[in-house]
Amino acid sequence: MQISGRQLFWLVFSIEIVLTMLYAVSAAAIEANQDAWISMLLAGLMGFGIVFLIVKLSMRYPQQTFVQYSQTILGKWGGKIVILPYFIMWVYLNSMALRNSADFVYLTLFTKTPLYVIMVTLLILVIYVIFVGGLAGIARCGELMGPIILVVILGTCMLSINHLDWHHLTPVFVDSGWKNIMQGSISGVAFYGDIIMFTMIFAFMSNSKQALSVTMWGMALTAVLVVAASMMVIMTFGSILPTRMWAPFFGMTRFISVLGFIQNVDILFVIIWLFSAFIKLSLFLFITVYGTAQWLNIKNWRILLWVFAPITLVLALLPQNATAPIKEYVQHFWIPFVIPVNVIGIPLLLWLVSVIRGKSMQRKDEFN
Amino acid sequence: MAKGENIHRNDALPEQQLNPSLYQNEAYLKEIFQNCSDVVFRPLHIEGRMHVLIIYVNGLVDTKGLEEMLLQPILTAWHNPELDKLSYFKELIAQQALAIRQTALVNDISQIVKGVLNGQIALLTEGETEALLGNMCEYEKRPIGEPGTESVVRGPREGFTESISTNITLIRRRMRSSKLKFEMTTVGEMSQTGMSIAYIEGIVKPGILQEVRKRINGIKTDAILDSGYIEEFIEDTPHSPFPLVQNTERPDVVVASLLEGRIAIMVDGTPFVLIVPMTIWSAIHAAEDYYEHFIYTSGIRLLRFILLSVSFLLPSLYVATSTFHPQLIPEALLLTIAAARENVPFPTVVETLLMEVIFEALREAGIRLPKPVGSAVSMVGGLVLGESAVRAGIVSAPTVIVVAFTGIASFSLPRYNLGLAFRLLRFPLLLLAGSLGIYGVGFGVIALIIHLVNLTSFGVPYLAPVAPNLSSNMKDIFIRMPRWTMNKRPAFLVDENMVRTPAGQDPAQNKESRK
Repeated sequence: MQISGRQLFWLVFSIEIVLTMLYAVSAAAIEANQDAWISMLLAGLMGFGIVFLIVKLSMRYPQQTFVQYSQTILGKWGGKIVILPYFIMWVYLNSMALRNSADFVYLTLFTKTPLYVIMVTLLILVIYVIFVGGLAGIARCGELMGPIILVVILGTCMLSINHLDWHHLTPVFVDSGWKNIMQGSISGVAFYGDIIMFTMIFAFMSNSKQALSVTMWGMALTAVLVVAASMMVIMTFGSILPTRMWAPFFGMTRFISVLGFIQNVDILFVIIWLFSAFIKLSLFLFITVYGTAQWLNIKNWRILLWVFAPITLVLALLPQNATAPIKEYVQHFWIPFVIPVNVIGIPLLLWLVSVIRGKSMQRKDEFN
Repeated sequence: MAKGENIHRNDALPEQQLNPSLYQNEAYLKEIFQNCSDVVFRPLHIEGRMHVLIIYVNGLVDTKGLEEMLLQPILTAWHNPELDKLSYFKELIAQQALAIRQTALVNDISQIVKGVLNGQIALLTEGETEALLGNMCEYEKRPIGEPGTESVVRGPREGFTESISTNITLIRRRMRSSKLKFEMTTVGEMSQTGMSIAYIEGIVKPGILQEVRKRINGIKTDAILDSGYIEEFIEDTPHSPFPLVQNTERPDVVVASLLEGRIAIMVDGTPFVLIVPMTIWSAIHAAEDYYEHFIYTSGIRLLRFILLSVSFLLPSLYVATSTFHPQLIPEALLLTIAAARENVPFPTVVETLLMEVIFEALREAGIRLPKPVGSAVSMVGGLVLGESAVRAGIVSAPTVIVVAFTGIASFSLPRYNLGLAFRLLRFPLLLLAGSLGIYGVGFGVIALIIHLVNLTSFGVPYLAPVAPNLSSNMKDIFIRMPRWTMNKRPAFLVDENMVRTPAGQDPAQNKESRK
């Protein structure tokens, strides 16, 4: 199981783009109004910071996954304990991703079909790809679907140009100020925080030197498109409406009508959503299964698939409605807990310990 | 094969040395070839005693050549009294061997039997414990004709025949290099079918070649009647509906594939040559793509990709949108469809399935029926079923159009066997569309993608060079770049001797420099 730099790029892109594009904008608009796009820009920059931190950390141990090098850095038991918050994050993130994906499909396409039908069918696909292809299979799917996602997003942006109004963006900055803009960017950072999952992936790269540049490019493309998308959303709906909308960018695609024939391209958006959700779910479930197997020293990691797939399904069925998983989960779990601890705190701690110990190790070598 | 289970084989004769007595040898061989009326025993009696015995299979050897090259010299030399009879035969064998294409001396009866069955003549003489096997194999062949399954407007029109030696010649004529190798083996315990593994040394990856040899040598069966038998034995994923081994009737396609580092497997008795490793793109590319202008070819390829998705997706998208998501269809079109469907008693999915099955039946009947009846089938199918079914309101016209277009699209693939896979998968997708709408179609498409990206053919990913991506090899996938830009062999198939066409042959630039 090895993946190339290009595959990593498409994985980063297709996992980050769709969800952030759809949901982060409305949360940012609540705080920053028409300056939501500046929030998204800031979020993108902070995303770069996170990428830089985790890639630099992972590249100190290019052959090891996060679970392995945390043990290398902190010793066997220290390393194992540090994984505990990640384990909780993995399981929770899986089920929320599944719930989100299913909710979106349900709300856009279905009325009577039970939600669990969508979840089960999605899970079947995910189990199939993990079981047959492992990470390499997921990466190849990403390589095929990523470009399609990009083309559809660019296409919808192009077709939406004729109903944009620049005046909705003004006045820039004056209304909101730094504090609100920063507040608005938190939701974006929350979505970009997913990138922490890739600490488990870098070890599989065939050429680990590419990791930093490739992940950065994936993040850059995502950030640019998200900023563009948030500007377009505000230019279409103004600053008030998006705050009340469930997925404003998706709403915007429903406005597209060219020659009275190219209409309802939102269905294309549902398809790329499905692609993105599929890649995201399969990568995250793979990480959960593989990481847990490494954590607990289980040789045959595929067996754990039969444990985590049902857990994911059950947890995904728990939330009462469609807004709970996206709003409450981000506000009550992801922002106060995951971002400071899992995404920034522990990696920073590991990096510091690793740098200090690395230096002391080097010195030891010199003495010997 | 279960333990202790043995295949009935014909070369299970015990090793038996030739006897100096010709009469005993004859008796023994006649016992082996009992009731084989096509095996000819031709003794030459001189002075009342049999001195020479020639054995061959009638129809497998060149009888005229036999008369001229063997019988006449023997009979004329026979009256020469100066020659000692026994020593003469040694001379004869040594000299006459020159007149025959290929000879060998054997002393084992089982080898004689094998040689005779392979179209050789066996020459046994009195008092010798060695026999001469001469290759005078010649049998009735079909002349070289235009390949039936892959015709072109522009390009060579020669196709393979059932004879492996003709086929090898067709390839050798296009590639006069000592690096082109043909490794001969036989497969099939009873049929003893000749097979040849063709490759170009220095281009083919040794690992892939070794794998091909290993898989072919592992085949144990009684008979091989077509290369399709071989294909099923050597596939990577036998349960996939997708063809993992390419077949072709065209020598130019084989040579082009060999130059890309692929390996051709030729089987005697069939004009279909197998090519491994196969990628899905080679099923979408036609031979003519390389003979016609590249701009035209690129356009045609684009069309083919559209038609491929149409043949797979159109019926299910039609069912999904008209049943579950009518809002996706532009209003005017929706009204037309709704008006046409007003009186139809079935749900769209049933209606479409019905028409698809009828279409498949027509197609199958068109292939199987004797040619004179063919027009009747198209009459009944086209007019009676299509026209009357719509008139009677059993099916709607839009459904007929969708099914017909799907059918036409599925014919546009250059390789028939890939079309078969999509033709088959259309039906489960139709059911998914009928039950889950667009989401069902998406489900089917993602499942198909997962299946395709995980397929390999002799270790080479089926979707290479698209997934895993090798952008340097993309010049010949969705479009075809001009020949002078395609400098290198595909990197997923070849390691060494990469350069095909040295760079700097752009005619436009050369024109500049000529000034």
